[in-house]
Amino acid sequence: MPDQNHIEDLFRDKFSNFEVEPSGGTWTGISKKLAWQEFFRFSLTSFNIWYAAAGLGIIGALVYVGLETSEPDVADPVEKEVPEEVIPFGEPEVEDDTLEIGVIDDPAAEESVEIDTEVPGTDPVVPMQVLPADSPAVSDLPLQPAQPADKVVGPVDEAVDLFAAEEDVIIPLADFGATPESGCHNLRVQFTDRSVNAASYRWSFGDGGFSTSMHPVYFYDQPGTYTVTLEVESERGLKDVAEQQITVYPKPEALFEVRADEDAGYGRTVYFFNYSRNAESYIWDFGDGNNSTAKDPVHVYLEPGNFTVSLTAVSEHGCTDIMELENIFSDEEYFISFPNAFRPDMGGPSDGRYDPADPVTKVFYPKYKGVSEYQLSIYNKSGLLLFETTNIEIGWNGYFNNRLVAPEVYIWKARGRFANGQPFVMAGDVTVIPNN
Amino acid sequence: MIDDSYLVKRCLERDRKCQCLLYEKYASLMLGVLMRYAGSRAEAEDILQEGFVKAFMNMKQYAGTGSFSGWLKSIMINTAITHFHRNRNFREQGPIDNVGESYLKDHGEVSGLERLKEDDLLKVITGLPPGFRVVFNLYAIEGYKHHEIAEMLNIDEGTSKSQYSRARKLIRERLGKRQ
Repeated sequence: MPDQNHIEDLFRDKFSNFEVEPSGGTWTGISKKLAWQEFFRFSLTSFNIWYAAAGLGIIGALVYVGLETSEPDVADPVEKEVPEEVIPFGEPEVEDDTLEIGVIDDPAAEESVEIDTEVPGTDPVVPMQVLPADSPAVSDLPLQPAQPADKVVGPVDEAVDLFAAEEDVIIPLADFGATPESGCHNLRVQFTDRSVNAASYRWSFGDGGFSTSMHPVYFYDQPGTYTVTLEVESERGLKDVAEQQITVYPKPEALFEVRADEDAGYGRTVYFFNYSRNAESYIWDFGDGNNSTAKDPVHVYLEPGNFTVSLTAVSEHGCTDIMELENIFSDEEYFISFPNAFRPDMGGPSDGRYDPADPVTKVFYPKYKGVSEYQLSIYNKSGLLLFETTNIEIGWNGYFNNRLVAPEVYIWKARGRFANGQPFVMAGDVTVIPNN
Repeated sequence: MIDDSYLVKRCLERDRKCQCLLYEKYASLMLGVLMRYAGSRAEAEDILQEGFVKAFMNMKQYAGTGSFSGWLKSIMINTAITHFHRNRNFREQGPIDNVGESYLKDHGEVSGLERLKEDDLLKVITGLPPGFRVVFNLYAIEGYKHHEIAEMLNIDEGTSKSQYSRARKLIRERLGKRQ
């Protein structure tokens, strides 16, 4: 017996590299269509080229103007002397020297001064001018208490203080929480930032996704274990990184088929075939109030009717998937139905053959699809059998013993089997309408 | 064999020769895919043409990540689905009951499904009603999930599942009785 549980594997295997040589004219067709479509797109491209040309023209004009203005620049050496003229501004450099002397015991300050001397000559002017106005603002900063440079005192030292504060701006600390930290496939995770002193965030969710918001929500659409990293950056550009793992468990796939017992008596025995994947336990709801936890259960339906069966597949991590099959006894493919009235031919009994395409129904017959076994019986009200056939192509012509029956209500019974083996038993009444 | 990334680059410049090379490289594989989705060879070739034109006109969208053939295949499948939607209301459902019968007649009892040829399986697939066929292809062979199929076909997830279940049942019946 072949392993029929894996039709999927069979088909996937056979068709993964299945090739069919296309017929000769196909490429010609494609290239024609392409030429046609590109013709339209080409007009767009030429617009682009036109725009580019216009852009080039503008750039050219600018370059021309620029050249004209830059010519005197090159010619005039006075401009080059400007930096030298700035040098007199370098007076603050002298102040820097005093700084260096004043704060010789503070290594942080020393560094800052060193940096300071590297700044081009014009720059030192700025801190000197800004200093008096800025110093109160600096002491207002909440960051201030953490810095150890307090021991430096004096008006000159405040400049050092400023630099020290800027150097020490509190280090950011990345930290975050995730809810939940693990769960079933198509997992929604709410990340909560708990970082300190962070100005910007960069989340990387471990599957290629990222975010820059503070408390992002992320959906994992593939099972796996992901390392989430949060990189925070302080206003001064200092960085810190935190990491955490998120596990997304695979979801099982519920899948089943139904087969009804062909020799159904009163109770209909139904076999359920379970093709679920990644599941280790199952919950069946047969739709008639009964349940089962078997893998491939067999269930007997004692009551007639149609039932909706659901299978819940549960994986080892408790992930679930549900499949529901509505109306297990109906099959869209197969049906049979009878009219409730017809008008017999007055001109004598026909052979009962009918043309389903003919809108005038002189014969009583069903509309059907996929019927393999069939028996139709017609009775009058007192239970006398008037007509019987096992050929579905022959209907009742409205005659009994070659005489037209009275125009009244008759009973019909039909039984048989559909092509899929499912039996049917039906009954109803039909009114014979007289022809006037 | 010329490298895909080179061909793609040249195709972006609308080099017709490279487009032809790329076509020749993948046409038969893609037609193999489309034969499963279409009801007939002629329909499959129509979709193939349409799909290649779409691919060449939208080659910019191919990001270069992942294989080119995978990208091309997804374009083909999407084209087939569009085709399926377009024709859904007009197409007559094929005679579903005879499919695979010829195979069974020739071979009597099915003794090993593994021994079935691609052509026989293809007959079984193309014999399915179009809706079943698309769902079966997407789920069983392409490996899409039901919720993805639901989105692609614009149907409920439950519909996808029950269509798949019924398609599978039909297929199995045609491959041989279980009991």
